[in-house]
Amino acid sequence: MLTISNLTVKRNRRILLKSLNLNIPSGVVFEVYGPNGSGKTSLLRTLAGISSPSSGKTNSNIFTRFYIPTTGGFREELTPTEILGSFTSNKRNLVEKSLARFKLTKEKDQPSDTLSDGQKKRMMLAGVSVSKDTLLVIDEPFNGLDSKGVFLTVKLFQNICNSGGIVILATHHPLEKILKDNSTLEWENFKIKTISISTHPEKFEISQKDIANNSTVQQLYDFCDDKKNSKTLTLIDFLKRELQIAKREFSDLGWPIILYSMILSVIPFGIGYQKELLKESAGGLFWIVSVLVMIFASSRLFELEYKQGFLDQLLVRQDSLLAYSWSKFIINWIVIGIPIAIISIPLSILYKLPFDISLSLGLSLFVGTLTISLILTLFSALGIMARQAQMVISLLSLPILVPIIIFGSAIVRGRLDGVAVDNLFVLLVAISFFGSLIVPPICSKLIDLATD
Amino acid sequence: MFRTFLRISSPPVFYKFASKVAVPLWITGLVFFLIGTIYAIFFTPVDAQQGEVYRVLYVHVPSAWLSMFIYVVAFFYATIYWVWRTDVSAVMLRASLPTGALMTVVALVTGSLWGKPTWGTYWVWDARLTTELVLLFIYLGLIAVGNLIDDSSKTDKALALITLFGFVNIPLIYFSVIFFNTLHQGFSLGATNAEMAFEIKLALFICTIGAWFLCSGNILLRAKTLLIDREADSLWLKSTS
Repeated sequence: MLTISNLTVKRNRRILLKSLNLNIPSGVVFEVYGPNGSGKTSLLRTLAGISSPSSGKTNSNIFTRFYIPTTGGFREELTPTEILGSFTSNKRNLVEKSLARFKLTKEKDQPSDTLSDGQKKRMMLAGVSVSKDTLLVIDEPFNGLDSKGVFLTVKLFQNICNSGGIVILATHHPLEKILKDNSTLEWENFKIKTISISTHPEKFEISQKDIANNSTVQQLYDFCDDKKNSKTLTLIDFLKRELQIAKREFSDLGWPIILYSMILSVIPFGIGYQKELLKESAGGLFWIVSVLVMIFASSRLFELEYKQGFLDQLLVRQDSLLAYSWSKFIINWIVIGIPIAIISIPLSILYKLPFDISLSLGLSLFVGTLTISLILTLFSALGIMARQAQMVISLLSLPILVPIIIFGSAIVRGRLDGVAVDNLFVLLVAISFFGSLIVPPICSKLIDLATD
Repeated sequence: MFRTFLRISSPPVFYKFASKVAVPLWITGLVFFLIGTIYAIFFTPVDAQQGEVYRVLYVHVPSAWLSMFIYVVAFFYATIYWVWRTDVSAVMLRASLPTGALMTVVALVTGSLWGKPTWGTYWVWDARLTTELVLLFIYLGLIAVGNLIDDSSKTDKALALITLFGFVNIPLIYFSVIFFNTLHQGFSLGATNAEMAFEIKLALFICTIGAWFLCSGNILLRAKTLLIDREADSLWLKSTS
């Protein structure tokens, strides 16, 4: 039973729904109607666990939840198979079976941005039947679906209800009307119980209905095996996912490195070619340019994840945001930081550095870019909320990164002066170690905040 | 003690308190500061080494102290906001940042004006100066966060979080900058070792108190405005005005 007690939903400090009390028994479809802007989606997001209610509470977190927004909810670079694979710990054949049921077999290995809107919706619905979650929250379920799709969707609702789950939907088309409009389809023995609520600011009506049509239940998926299917993503899953996305955009990975090499080769045109000058300034220049290039490259770390609704999904499914933040900064380091460190070794020939000092520079960048990546992940998470993400990230990260730049470039200068620099390496390692303990928790808090 | 603390965290009580106190604080601060500077100009002895120019100190030292102290204040309100989520602490956090940035700018400008005749240059890459500069950048970054995020309830939480994080980082910056400095060259601040005359101490004391009051008045005035802006719809504000 889903209990909603004294729930108040606000958006931008405006009260949309005031002290709603409702018990929704298992096996019921809960319909939310209401004019545009009356708070349907806000209520749904609260029940799905994305936004926290401004007062009151619900016990929706005792269910395993699945949320289908009007658009998105997944990264469009990934294929349906990959997306559905992240919903279940079960074997691959279940994914294929439900994709086949929703007529997506042909498209299963294409990037999902090639799918039509209706197909995307079908894919998410197939996802529900894979994860077998007990609380389905779905916004405008019938938009973009053909009558076959509507049929499958309603059947899916029925299956969830029959196995003791709850479906919550926001819609302008009451289920009853949908059934009447599509009466040509074979509904057979169809029976569904609905509770509906019509939201108007500060006022709402609740009504109950039994919609019946005689039919035998055709099983779209079986809850009968009581195994818990839906899975929580771990750090490994997140890393795998990041690699899948990186693989799709493989050709884009090289650009930051090219930019880095370009800036560093252009600088001597500005400051002159004197050997001593280049040697002296090499350390500082390499460090500053690597920070700048990483800022350019990292500003969109979370932007697509947020816009395409993946961050919402993380909260709905109660996955660990901490593991997610970890995966983000590790991948960012591997994809941008480490290549920068490697390319710096040959590039430093341009700056007349002796080879052994080049190696120190590369090694120091290898350690230091981890910290840079950490800090940038943190501020990118902050940037989700900001109007000018790039500006916020640069303004905040540069002063915070001053110590890293100082220590890092001091390693090169120290080597040139013939001073031992082991302690500086230890210091850089220590900073990145403590950083990776402190920063990801803050980062996950910010992500939580951004999606609120 | 805790109860009065709780009481002041209610917006109407804070509003009344701020309205009553802000302007008198500001005026007191101004008076103190004027007395302090006049006393400093006419009644304190001239420094044997630096001559008249040392008198910049009466503005420079209070502003430098306050620039750092206001960050501590911001940190304090960020903690309170993070723990209790009171509106007033969020408002105070946001109100204290511009004043902090202003004090940092004043400290930097007066410092460099003093540096030209004394050290022969407006700027040296000394540990103190550099940390102060980075502090200014951090203030500016925080103000940017406050301005660039649309949803105000999100801004508060994000701002509190970043302020807390920035505080952890400040010792690291200070430490790194000292390191940066020693690698280059040492620069002694010289004058601080000298025994200070009683008059100088007194003038400095009065100026500091003045600056202190001015800043608190300033912060409270800004906090009051911010609070009106946030609570524009609430009933207590309509009934008080």
